[in-house]
Amino acid sequence: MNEETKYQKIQDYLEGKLSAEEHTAFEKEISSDPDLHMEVDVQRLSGDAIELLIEDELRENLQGIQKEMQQQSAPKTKVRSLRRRIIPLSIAASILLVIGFFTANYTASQYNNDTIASDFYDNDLLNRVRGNNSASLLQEGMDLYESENYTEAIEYLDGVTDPNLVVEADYAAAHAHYNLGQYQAALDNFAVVMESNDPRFSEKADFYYLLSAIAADQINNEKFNNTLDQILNNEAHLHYNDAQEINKKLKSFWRNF
Amino acid sequence: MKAGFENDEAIVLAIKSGGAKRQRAIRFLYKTNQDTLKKVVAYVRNNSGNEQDGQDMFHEGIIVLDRNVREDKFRGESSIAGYLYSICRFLWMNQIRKQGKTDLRDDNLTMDQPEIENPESLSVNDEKKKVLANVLSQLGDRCKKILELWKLSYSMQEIADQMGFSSAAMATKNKYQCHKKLMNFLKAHPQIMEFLR
Repeated sequence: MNEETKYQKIQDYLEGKLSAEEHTAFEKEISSDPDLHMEVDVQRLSGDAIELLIEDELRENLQGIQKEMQQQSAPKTKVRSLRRRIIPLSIAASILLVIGFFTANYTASQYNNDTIASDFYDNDLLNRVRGNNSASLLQEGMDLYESENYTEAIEYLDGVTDPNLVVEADYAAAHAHYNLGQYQAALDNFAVVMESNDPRFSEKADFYYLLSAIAADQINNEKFNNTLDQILNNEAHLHYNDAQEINKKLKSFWRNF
Repeated sequence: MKAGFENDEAIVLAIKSGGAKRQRAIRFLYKTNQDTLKKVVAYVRNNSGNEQDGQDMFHEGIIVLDRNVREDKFRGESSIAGYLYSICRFLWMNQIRKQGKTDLRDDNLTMDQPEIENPESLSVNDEKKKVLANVLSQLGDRCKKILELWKLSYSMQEIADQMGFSSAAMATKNKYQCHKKLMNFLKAHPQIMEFLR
């Protein structure tokens, strides 16, 4: 047995993927071979270590969900407090700033992540997704989406498990998260749609993945750069022109102003 | 009708499927178990803790639930909500016992005891976690991410897409190399192995 085959066999044993016969035979082998016994132990313990990574990531995700829920439960207070700060600042700014500075500032604002994301975002869903299914959860979810009840829509859409409908549901849920300002969740869902390679949605998902990453200020990573490059290198891509414009904006001098 | 996953079974299936389905199921679980969260917070507050401790226990409970489901330890004999509550309660009881506070006010809940360790083994487990975290520090972030995705049942093609590999075969090769690196470190440190056994 070569090293990789042995590794795979041990993994199958640890994951309970061997048949009853194979399992018994392998256990016999382990008990009579101290080296193999050691290999199994090492592989099992390394699995425990990897499990720790999963725990840490999940802990972080749960904190993110908690934060989202807290933000959703107090949106009005937040807007009011923001206004309270912005109004006096605006008055002071209008007195102090010269017209040239205003102009430059305005120009620079056109290049920040929030503006880029909102300029290019289009509610690219209703007329393109609907129409060819009658599955109740998806239909309910789409109806709720249409009436802008995004939170409820997500609950229905997340429940869709039929493999024929799930990509459509994920795509709609991603837009619903985006509209709620839950950009991390939108990123996750658009990523799933991209990976599905479903020709109806994958190119759109590429583009909205980029917008979600921009809105979430997560643009300095491999996945973002690869996705952007992939669109830029494919003139036939549905969002080739948009991606060109976004790329120019992201590289603009004004972003650092 | 309750929106979202139709029943506990659908949630369990989604968690076991891994990947984005698992993430959606956990998000759904979190949002639809706010009553459980309130109960956990109430229990913790009645037993020497505060609101934040209760919130933390709820998160730790979901982490244990997730692992138990993935490892087939949740048998579906009680509802997920009941199971989650009993895990949280158990974890908190264990924590305050470790802190030497023993005046627990049990709420006499008769739910399935979750498949988690007894208090003694949990305290050893904390020590083990520290050692395992040290072991993991031998790997780069990229290797850690690959192994994490693999352990969460992402397919090799999904790992390739997410990590920017040219093919599923390349992802498989990298996963093997990363795992090997981790295992070689363990083999080179028998004292660590002994402690972790």
